[in-house]
Amino acid sequence: MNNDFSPAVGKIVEDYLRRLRGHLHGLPEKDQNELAREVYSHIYESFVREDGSRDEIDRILAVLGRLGEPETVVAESLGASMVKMGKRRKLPLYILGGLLIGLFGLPLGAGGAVVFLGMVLGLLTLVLIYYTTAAALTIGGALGVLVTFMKWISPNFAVHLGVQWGLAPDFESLPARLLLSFLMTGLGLALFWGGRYLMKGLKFIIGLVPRKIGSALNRRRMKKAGLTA
Amino acid sequence: MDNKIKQLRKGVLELAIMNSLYKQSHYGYSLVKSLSVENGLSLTEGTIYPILNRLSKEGLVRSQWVESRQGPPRKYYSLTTEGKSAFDILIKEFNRLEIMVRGKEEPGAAAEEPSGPALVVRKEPNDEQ
Repeated sequence: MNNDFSPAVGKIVEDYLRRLRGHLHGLPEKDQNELAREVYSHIYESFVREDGSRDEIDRILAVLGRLGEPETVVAESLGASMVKMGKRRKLPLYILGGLLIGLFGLPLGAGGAVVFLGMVLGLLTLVLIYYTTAAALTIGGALGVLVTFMKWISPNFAVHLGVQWGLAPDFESLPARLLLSFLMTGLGLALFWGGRYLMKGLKFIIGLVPRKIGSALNRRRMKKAGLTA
Repeated sequence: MDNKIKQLRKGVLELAIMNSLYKQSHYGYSLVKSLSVENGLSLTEGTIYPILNRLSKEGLVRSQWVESRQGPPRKYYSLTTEGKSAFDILIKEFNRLEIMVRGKEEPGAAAEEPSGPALVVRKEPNDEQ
């Protein structure tokens, strides 16, 4: 779709369209493509009518300046609720960015990237601990249920095996031990179930931050090149 | 104040777009040109797209991709029958609002200003294409 411009101009147009698409998350792919095509056509029609004696970069920047920021083009097309949702989704990133800048007094440069890597590693460790705990609770609880049952049926069971199990030495009655074991299993399974959200959240954070950094850099480059925000 | 102007423009812009599409079909860029030529206002061009999108959803405007002799295809918009009758109603309301804003013109005052009101929206039902 990009043979209409020189490589340099095409790159700027591509950047703009990528930023545009960045605002269209949640819209069906078909609608995203439709709007991107239409805006591309607008940029082309506007560009070919620019004064040809000027530098082509100046021309394309003038065209995009008149078109306005991508937000202008997509405003409302998602409906107010979607826009609100997008703002809410950005919030953790602002907090993260604020933390980094607050801690190190620098924008997301190399130092920021290292800190981000550290955070990701920390999160991964947390996830590992989380699942280890869930597995321990589930297996321990299930074994507890099994052993308690066996002991109930034949009081000599554990003695035969020589198993010394004292999960809760204060609980002398078997029903109480059984209940405790069931609770443990239940808690372990609940942790596993809750893990889905944990993984979703983790994937979201790991995937989104680099993308956002990329688009922020793009925006800065465009601004530097003379486009107003 | 900027915000007030923005709000005012947004509502009127929708009407102006319908007026332009009443006369002939336009693709985005030519629509912008038709609007700026007619009123001389500077317009952030991208603002027409959310409005066109909404009008499409409401069934007041239809669109069609047409191959261009030069460059990528263009998406042409035109007013549907519903769009035209909606515009007829809206423009009457707009004229009433204009009178409300300017105050009732007294017969004497009107005679003193033969140039007439500046905000008349032209309407030519015949397709000029």
